[in-house]
Amino acid sequence: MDLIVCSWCQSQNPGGTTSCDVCGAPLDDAVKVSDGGWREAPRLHDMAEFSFGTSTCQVEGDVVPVAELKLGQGDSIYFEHHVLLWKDEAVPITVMNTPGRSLGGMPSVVTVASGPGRVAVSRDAAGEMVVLPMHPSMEIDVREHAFLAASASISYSFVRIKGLANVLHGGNGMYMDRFVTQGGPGLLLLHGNGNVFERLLAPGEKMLLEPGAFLFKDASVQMNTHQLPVKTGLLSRGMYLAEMTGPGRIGIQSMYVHHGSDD
Amino acid sequence: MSMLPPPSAAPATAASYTCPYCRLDGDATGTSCTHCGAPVDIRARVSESGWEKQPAIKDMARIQFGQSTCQVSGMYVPAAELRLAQGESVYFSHDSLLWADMQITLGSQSLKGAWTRKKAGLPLVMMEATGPGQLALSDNNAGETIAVPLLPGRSVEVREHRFLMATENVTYDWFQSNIWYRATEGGGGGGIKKKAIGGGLGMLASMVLDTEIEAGGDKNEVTTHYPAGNFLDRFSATDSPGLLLLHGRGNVFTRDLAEGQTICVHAGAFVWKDATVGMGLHLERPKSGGWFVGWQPATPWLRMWGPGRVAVSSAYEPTEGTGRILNTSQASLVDWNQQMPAHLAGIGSVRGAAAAASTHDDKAFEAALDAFATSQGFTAGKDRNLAAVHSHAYSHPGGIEIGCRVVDTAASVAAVSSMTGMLGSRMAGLSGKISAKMESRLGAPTGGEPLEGLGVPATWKQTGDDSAVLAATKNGKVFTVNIKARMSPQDMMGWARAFAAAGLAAMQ
Repeated sequence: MDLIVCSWCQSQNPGGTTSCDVCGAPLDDAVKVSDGGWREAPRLHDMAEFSFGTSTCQVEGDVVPVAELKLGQGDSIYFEHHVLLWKDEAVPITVMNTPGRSLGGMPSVVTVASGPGRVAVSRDAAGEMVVLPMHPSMEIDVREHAFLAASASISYSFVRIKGLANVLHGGNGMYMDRFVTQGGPGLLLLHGNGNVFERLLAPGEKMLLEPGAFLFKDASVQMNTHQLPVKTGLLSRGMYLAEMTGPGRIGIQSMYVHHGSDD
Repeated sequence: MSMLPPPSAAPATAASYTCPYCRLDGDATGTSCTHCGAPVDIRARVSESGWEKQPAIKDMARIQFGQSTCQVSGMYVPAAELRLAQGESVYFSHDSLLWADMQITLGSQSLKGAWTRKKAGLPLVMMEATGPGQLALSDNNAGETIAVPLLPGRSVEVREHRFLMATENVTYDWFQSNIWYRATEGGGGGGIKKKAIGGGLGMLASMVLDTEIEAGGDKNEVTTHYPAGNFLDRFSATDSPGLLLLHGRGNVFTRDLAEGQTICVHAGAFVWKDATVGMGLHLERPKSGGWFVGWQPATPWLRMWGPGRVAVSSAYEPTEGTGRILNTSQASLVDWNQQMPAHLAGIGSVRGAAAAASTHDDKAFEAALDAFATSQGFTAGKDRNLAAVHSHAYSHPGGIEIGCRVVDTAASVAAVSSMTGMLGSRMAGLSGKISAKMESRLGAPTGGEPLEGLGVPATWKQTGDDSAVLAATKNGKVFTVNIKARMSPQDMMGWARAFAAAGLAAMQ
């Protein structure tokens, strides 16, 4: 039987299937790439379903998508506590130990839901769900408060964005969430505000982003501040953009958090 | 050749159709339900868990009510465009009015109890529009317009600020939700504040097994929270069918709850429910412990139980971070610290992992110590059982204080090592250092003299004029007896030996 390779996560699926069993991406839709080289993140079909471990995830809704997870025995996911939309009463909730997270200015508590049972998570803004299956030994950095849920097999930490200028003016806060897989694969769900686009940067290739549009990147992509010779006001310092340097993937969101340039 | 005429076609009749969303009979020959606007030609989208996605009303779909019509246009923030017939009226919240033509008659509606709502800070002015004429209403959040046709005798209860419009024959009332909790102000980290605990890896390690966290901190301001809103709107059809339009933020899902069936819903996601569905405050205290998080405020939920329909939206009102919850309306409570299955403990909690990994049977150990202490005239004090550390205190009227403690060293170190996976590769080095430090801290006190006669390796150390400690090691566990008494060293050793012998006999 012919195999269909998912263009988003590169997983192989049996012929005849219409959505990827690993990331839920439609297999029968053409890949949409803009002339500028940005690829649209796959728009998941309503009720698309995919699996991880002994669990399944079903994505519902197209304005503010919901990830409904059926957790198998022994499987767990973690998330910021306020994104939990509903849960079976019997699903236990645990607080994950995230030392220093509150010190990083992130007011959310990372909690763990454990199977067996069902839970659903969603963000509170119109946008798209981005499914990032992670192979072993991968590291992905994500804008703070953009991750929706991750399987327990993915290690979680957060990193300070390097460079003082970036901290002060880059507009992306001081920390990014970092997700790392070690021996096994994992599933990472993000929520992008508006529409989400991705591109692959070659080694040394650079791209400037509005800092508020940054959504995720491979850890191999360097992120720094780039100052433009533009004054946006009499007393302002100027306009700053995020300079991304490959190699690796970067993802952006079209409805971004505008940080301004004169604050 | 015979000219057999073809069979005559059956006369066309409107196929009967029951809309799966509003549950009313309608005409299947159209593309959308005339009562609620739901598309007719799509199959129901029901998730595996039973939530049914309310299909968005198709762009330009029409809903008939009386002699008037409602046309819904737009996708992201739909507008409901009403063409009102002569003498027909609708009412709506004044802040929903998008536009109106010059023919429509607009006025305000008198509402009993409006002062109460006004006092609650709600800018409520209910307006009434009477045909003939046209007007349009919309919310200002991305989402869906939901039509809820009401048959006579049916009531629904709606979260405040979700209401868009109702026909004049739908009665409107509101009532206090009576779902509330009072809590201290929260802050970063969900309202927790760590006590000063000193620095250094040794202290860091001690936190793992004995964290002291207090809630609320110096933010003593107390706030009352209403997770379902202070008020709920109630809409009822009495004598004739009516139409209710709501706006759900994001996508809207409904489900039927059977008699007694329950679901926990994010407090900000609730949109509407049948009046038959019960709703109450539900508090869940997540399993916590270990690193910097020894205490967590309970998470408030809306617990709903059938029979009846419930609707939630995927975009919700963010819940406010709180500190310690002081008191609540009637609520159910689950504390996962008490109910956490052992196999889950290692995921988020080092303390839980240590407890799960511990092989020490404290019940038998405690019973043996209690029996011995009681027989000698001691009184049992407060126990301190922290994961793989179990402590029991005894005091004698003659001025003897005994503290017996068992540490399952191997389990504790294994639990700390498990943090490597949770913290990520960048923290692996730190985790290793903490493990090493713990191993040295939790072991037998150093510098003591060897003590014979207990059948296991043991040491004795005088720590002060009136205090000493006996440490014994058995099966990877360290058993210490701390004694504080004004007596000779020989007598202190005698008492410590006696307690050690009683405990070691029961220690596996």
